[in-house]
Amino acid sequence: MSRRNPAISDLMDPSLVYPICLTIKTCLVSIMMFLLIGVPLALWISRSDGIISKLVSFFVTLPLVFPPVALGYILLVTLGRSGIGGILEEHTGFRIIFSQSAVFLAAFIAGLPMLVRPLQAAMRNEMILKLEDAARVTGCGPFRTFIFVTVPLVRSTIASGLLLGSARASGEVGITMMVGGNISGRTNTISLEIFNRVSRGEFDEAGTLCLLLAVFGLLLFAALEKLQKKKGY
Amino acid sequence: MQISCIIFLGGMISVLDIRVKKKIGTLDMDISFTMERPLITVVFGRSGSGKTTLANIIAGLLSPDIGMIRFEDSVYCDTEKRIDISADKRGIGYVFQEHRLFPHLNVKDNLTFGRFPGGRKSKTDFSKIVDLLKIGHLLERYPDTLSGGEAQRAAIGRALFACTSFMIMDEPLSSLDLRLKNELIPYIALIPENFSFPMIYITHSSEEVKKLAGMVALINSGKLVSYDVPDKVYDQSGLRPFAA
Repeated sequence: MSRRNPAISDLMDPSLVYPICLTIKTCLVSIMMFLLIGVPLALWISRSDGIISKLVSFFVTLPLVFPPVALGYILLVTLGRSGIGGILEEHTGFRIIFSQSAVFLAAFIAGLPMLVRPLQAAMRNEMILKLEDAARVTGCGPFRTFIFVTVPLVRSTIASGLLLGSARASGEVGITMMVGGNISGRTNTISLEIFNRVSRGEFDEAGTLCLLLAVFGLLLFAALEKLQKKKGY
Repeated sequence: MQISCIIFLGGMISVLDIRVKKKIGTLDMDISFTMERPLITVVFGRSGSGKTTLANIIAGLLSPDIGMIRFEDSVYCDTEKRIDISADKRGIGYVFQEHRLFPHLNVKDNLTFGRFPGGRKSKTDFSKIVDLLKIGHLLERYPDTLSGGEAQRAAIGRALFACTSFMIMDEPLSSLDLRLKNELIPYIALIPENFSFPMIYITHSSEEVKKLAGMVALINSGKLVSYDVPDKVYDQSGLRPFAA
């Protein structure tokens, strides 16, 4: 095998284009899910003292404190044919394990704590609670208070959480491998493809993909730095 | 018939009935009084006497353990009948100790917050509020660029524009220095006659009682000590009436 340096032209290689596209798609889908599920979840956890919210908070945090491969295995068992996945497949014909949805789910689970944990802390800020009270007495119900006061006030925390969450989502390997199956042309994200190429001795392609992730990481870092500076209230 | 009786008896119509009991921490609150239009009723007491708790219960930010709050024909809260109208639907204009303007909105959007997104139909003319409080030149500015007095004036404006029932002012001057206090008091004194909203004004300053009060409710450790005109309610030393 001839050795070349990592090259941009490699990015045109169809076998690399698929993981790149899948990773971008995964990032976009997980950002959507972070916004729709993560932000309200952070509000609920920050406002509730009940045992259920503590439990949910524990599960959200799990990917940070529990090895991803192990978590992936638990999910595989839970969502597999013998678990919830079997019942789901029986009734709807939809199979989550080893599908693209499994990749999205893995990315979402892995990235969620990066958004929810800082956000629930930010939402407990006393100034925000006081401004929410001000919105309530000025005529806003809980939902409008959330949309017009809470969210704008924590927007920089949301933005940095989305960036870190999607970075974590794009780099997720352990859970993705377990529930996604690392199937070429179906569930191989960039990170998994790097692993596959290295194990086959195709170091140039692996290098190209690394370079791509490095550029993405650098852009992310720059964006985070900018957000940090803007963080006003 | 009933109304005319009240007019005959007291010369004024009772508008706000409050009977509340609440235990929070060491505070054991048990207060009943009736407020009349269109006076400023000053709720006076030391720090920790339960003034802000009372204001929050009236506004709907806290629920009483037992009690009833009625404004004109609407029952805001009745624990016996399990009625508890949420804070956003009570139509109250509330001015807090700190201005609590929304930092992401400019002064104009803060002032109109009660209309959008608050959904209230203001009873007062926007330009009248802006003129009275002299905040016309501040409309495009953001709260962090305002001085303490300007910010509190804007906060009063926001409460007035959102107000459809009555006003609550919870020590609105306590975060300001003496000069600004004296500057702001005339604006507050103008509110009842200009907008005909009854007002509950909370303070621990006997100075403000003298300058603003139509009636004084003196509170100590969560209990109403006396409720009368300033001449007949004595300050904390128990020697001088407030109006003296």
